[in-house]
Amino acid sequence: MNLAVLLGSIAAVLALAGIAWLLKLGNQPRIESPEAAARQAREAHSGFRPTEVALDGEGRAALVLGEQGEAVLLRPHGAQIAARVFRTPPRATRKGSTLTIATDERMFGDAALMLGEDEAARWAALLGRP
Amino acid sequence: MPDLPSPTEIAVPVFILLVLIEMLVARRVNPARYEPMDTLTSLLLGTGSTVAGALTGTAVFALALWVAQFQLVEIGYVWWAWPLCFLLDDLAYYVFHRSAHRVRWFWASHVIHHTSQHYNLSTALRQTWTGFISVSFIFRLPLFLFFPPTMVFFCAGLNLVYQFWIHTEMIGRFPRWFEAVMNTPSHHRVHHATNPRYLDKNYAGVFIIWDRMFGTFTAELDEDRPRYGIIKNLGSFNLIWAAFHEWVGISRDVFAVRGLRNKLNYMIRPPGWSHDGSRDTSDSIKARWREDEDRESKPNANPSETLPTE
Repeated sequence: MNLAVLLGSIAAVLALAGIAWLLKLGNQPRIESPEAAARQAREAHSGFRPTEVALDGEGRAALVLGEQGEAVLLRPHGAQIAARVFRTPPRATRKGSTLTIATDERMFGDAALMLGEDEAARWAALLGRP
Repeated sequence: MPDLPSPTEIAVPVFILLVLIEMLVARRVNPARYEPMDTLTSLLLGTGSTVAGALTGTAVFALALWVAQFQLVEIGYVWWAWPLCFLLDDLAYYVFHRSAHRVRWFWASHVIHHTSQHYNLSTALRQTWTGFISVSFIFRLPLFLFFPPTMVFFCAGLNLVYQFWIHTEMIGRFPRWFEAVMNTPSHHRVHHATNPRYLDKNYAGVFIIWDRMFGTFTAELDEDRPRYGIIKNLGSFNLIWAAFHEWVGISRDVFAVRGLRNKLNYMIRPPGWSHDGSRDTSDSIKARWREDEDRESKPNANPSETLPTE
């Protein structure tokens, strides 16, 4: 492989990605309902039995608690939803109506859930972070 | 020694054209099948893979020539050697691929190909940067005891080209006779899926017969549509992280755990293995899934206290 081939390859790659963008491919995924969040959590963690769902007001993220005290965090990644499983309830901080779930993974990042003031306070208490 | 062309280099313009066509079809059928950042990541990882291959290719070819000194039989370039070599190279690919999913050291290199949550032709080009480090070339070495290295590499190139077109959701299923023998989009969707039913299945390159022979075949079911990616999806489009995250994971585990046996196990046991059993392997995921299936299929099962899931 010489430099010209490499530069040509990179140009073709950028062109294809640009075309995908121009064609408006991909979409912003939305978690439509608590039931949808529960289903997606079960898909992400086999054997998971959801008991309670905190769903972001815009459907941009959700935290699902399970029967055994474990939790599944759902958040968008491109046009898909990416999940993280916690064996115990995750660390959370509340600021007004926003509950932020920490994943302790720099590359995955934290997830913010807009829940409304009361719900955010209730979930913060539930997760042990009033 | 004939001067054989590189099948992959010849095929690259066709790859680009087919990706473009698939994107245009996706726009009409289902725009979510592609995502610009995902496509960019896949294609740049593919470009990086060709650079890594160019840097290490000479060493691998030299090793092949060295092994070929000890050839057991001199078959040469007779006509029947070509299909035989192609078939046995595909078997070697099956063994490599199965190991790449069951041994963490090989998985660390191969995982890059599975990191997209999409399944389209650009996913096919999401290839490893660290194949040389994982010594994945060892699976082909026995072939050099029988066939000329150039023939083996040519067949390997054809194998790789074949595998490109099966990375698509645009094609449903082929006639039964074809699905019985060949690896197809349907069979390979299963391989890329994270649904418990599909984990660690359909390792084939070109011929699905190896999976049928060695008990790793599962058919795609309409009622269990594949969900793509890895068990712990990256949630990031960072190229470097996609290429090296499992190597980082191995390093962390090996340094953190006590005992030589544990350190070794973090390298050679299946992905997800942990010394304290605190993580999921594909086996533990499947076991829980089967328990769930059994529980839900029992007519007198206790009514669930859990949330409905649509």
